[in-house]
Amino acid sequence: MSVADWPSWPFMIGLGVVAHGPAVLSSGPDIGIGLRCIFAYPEGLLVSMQIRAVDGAGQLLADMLSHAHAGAPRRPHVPHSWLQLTVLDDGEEMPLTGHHSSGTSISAGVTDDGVQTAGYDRDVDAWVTGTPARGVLEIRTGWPEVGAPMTTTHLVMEGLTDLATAVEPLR
Amino acid sequence: MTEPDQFRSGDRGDPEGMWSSLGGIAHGPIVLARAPHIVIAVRCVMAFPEGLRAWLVADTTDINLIPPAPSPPANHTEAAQRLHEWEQWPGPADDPVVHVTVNGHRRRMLMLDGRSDDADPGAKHIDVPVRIDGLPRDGLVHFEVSWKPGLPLTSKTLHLPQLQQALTEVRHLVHSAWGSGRQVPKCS
Repeated sequence: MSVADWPSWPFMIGLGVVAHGPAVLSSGPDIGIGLRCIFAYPEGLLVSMQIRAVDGAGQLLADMLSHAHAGAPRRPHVPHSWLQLTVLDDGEEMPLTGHHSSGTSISAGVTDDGVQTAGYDRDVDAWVTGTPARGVLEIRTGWPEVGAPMTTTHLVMEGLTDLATAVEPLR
Repeated sequence: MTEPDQFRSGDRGDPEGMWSSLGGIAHGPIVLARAPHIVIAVRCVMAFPEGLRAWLVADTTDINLIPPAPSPPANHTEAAQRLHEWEQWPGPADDPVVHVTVNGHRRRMLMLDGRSDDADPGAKHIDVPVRIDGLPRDGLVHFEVSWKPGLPLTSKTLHLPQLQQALTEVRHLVHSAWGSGRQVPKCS
């Protein structure tokens, strides 16, 4: 499913329990895809991720995204692609039913050596319906087209018991 | 050196280390202040060697309890002027007022990048990480929040006993010479 098809984001449901802290999920030359944290709710998990690309990968993404804007300066053609993400519980794929992203940024600069460079930052917050029955979440993610290989990471969740009372409602 | 008196969400002036690293979790979710139909809370506090990032959330189900939203700008000139004013002080009139004090330095947090456009009609929701420069030497982060008239000024101090542990959990995300050079934001 394309992230563009995901329904509205579910943040309003409350203050989720921190079930996992930071972890690098995929890394390649000049690019990293990381987990900031996972918030757990009775209904599911909010997987908060960060993409950071610099130098070669940052320039590649800058070129790719430049074609998404009418009137953008002409740059080398880079086929459009997107972060790949699958979340599994005991081998079963879990539905990604919510999405929110913010903080996308493309930056340009010059190093002290006079080399032009570019950077790309993006927050990706994926909503996963359900919680892993055995407390272990499997995340497969990557962005091979820009140098981040598909990588599988197993995360041991904490605090998944009694979520109904542990989660502080906002409303 | 004079320090800035406010922080902005999504500030591209963040230290390079905070952009290229994943912060350790120094504090979990906590409500800072609550009143009928209004809440201001922290989802978590992430620790980096350069400082903290607090993921703030502000939510009201009744916008009649908070200051009225500014009317839409009449033209591009007015829109540009308003954006310039927000960049200086004090941010959108209908935003909550949040000050944070660390190591004796009190500053206002602006939450410009995290507003939700799909909140229910009559409601408002802001969800955004904000940067806090420096690590608290005493492990304390003092919040003062208000969203008047519905939510009066309320103080809350977070204790971060796990701060040093959180710093050991910081993960480096990408290596680059990027931080050594001049950075010029192009778009966001």
